[in-house]
Amino acid sequence: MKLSCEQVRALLAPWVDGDIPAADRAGMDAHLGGCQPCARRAAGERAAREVLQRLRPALLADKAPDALRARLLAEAHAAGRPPAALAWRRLPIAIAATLVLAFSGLTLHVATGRSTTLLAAQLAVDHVKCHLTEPDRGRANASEVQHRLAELYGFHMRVPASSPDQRLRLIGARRCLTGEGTNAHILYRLDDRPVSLYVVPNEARTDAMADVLGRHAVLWSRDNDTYVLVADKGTADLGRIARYMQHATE
Amino acid sequence: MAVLPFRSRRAAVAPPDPFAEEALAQTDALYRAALRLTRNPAEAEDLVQETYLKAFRSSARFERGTNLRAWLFTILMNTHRNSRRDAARNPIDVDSEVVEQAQALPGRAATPEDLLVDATLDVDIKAALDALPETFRSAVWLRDVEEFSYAEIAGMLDVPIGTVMSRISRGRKLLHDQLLATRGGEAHGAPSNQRDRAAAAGPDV
Repeated sequence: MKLSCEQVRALLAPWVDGDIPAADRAGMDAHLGGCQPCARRAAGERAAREVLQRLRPALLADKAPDALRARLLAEAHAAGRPPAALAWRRLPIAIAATLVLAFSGLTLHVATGRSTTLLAAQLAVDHVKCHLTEPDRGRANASEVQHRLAELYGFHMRVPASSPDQRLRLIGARRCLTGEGTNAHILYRLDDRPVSLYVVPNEARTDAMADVLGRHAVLWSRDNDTYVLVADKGTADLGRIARYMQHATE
Repeated sequence: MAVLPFRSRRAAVAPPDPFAEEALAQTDALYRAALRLTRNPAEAEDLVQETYLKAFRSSARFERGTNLRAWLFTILMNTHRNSRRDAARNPIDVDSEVVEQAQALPGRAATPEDLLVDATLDVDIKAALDALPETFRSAVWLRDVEEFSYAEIAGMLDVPIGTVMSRISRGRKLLHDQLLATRGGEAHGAPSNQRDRAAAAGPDV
């Protein structure tokens, strides 16, 4: 049975892939051998596929940004589905170390230089401590907070403002006394629950997630600074808040 | 001090979840597909986050032992389709007029096919892909870059297999025409200029 041009064109894609039933192949080959326009079209489509195949490694080289990975980890945790491979599997050790180190800023800084999980765990401890002592004086003004961080401590960063849409309220900022006072700590309330954003300047790290003392810490880096978002475990909106913080600090 | 009762808190930590880990291993692939679909890095990130949000929430509906990768791509394509529909931009299918217009690109002096295959650079191919109508761009990407089967792509795009074949075929043809037009310009002695113009005419990626 002879195939029409229309029938041939309908099967060109699998023919080019070499993924066509033998029964159809003979008819296709016969038609393409005798029909110039179809043969030209087939050659063009084959060339396009070959270009794609040759350049496939380059096309597969694009990687998702770390900030996105951090948000996805936050989504996984918020959904109660923490991925198994994360460093927090070793967290019993991290917790023990954190308990010791929480009382000794210097030792902690040395240790956290090596372990991102430890840094996240330690900031989770600081988060608990600072929110206990920082009075909630209502909504703080972001540009004032930003100015004060720069003036008092030399931290130059964009401070994400309160956002009714995100149900997020900025209440203040301070220097985080762990880590030799080199980290900025910005304090928020999500509804009425404490949320912290830490900025660790001049330190890039791989993204990570720690789960410690009933808190989640999400960590990402950008432009050689590291950001750590800490909130109560089970905060369903953690991924959304991480996204808001990432956009607002850009 | 709040740090003391850690023993009881530890028990509340959710057990590690192999599903999440396996799903997150597809982050790069989904981001690349999202980047080709939206042609905008910020939109691509949001699309991927939305995809995982849905995946984690509906993971109970995922059947163990079936293809998680294809399932995630299906959610990504659906999410993108729905957001486009919400934005009331393009209809689901491309009318033939768009195709004819794209086909009417200057074909110019036909460079031999093998030269095209050898000489095309990855910036050229990305620009050429991004210039395709989305219907064809996504079909070609899923087949020739992500190497899904026709049946899997049909499921992702929610169209019959015959439609998938036709979209891939026409997408490859348009891509070929596009690349020829680019190389044709270079053959006429304006290589960098031509490429700059192609990039400028393309979307902001």
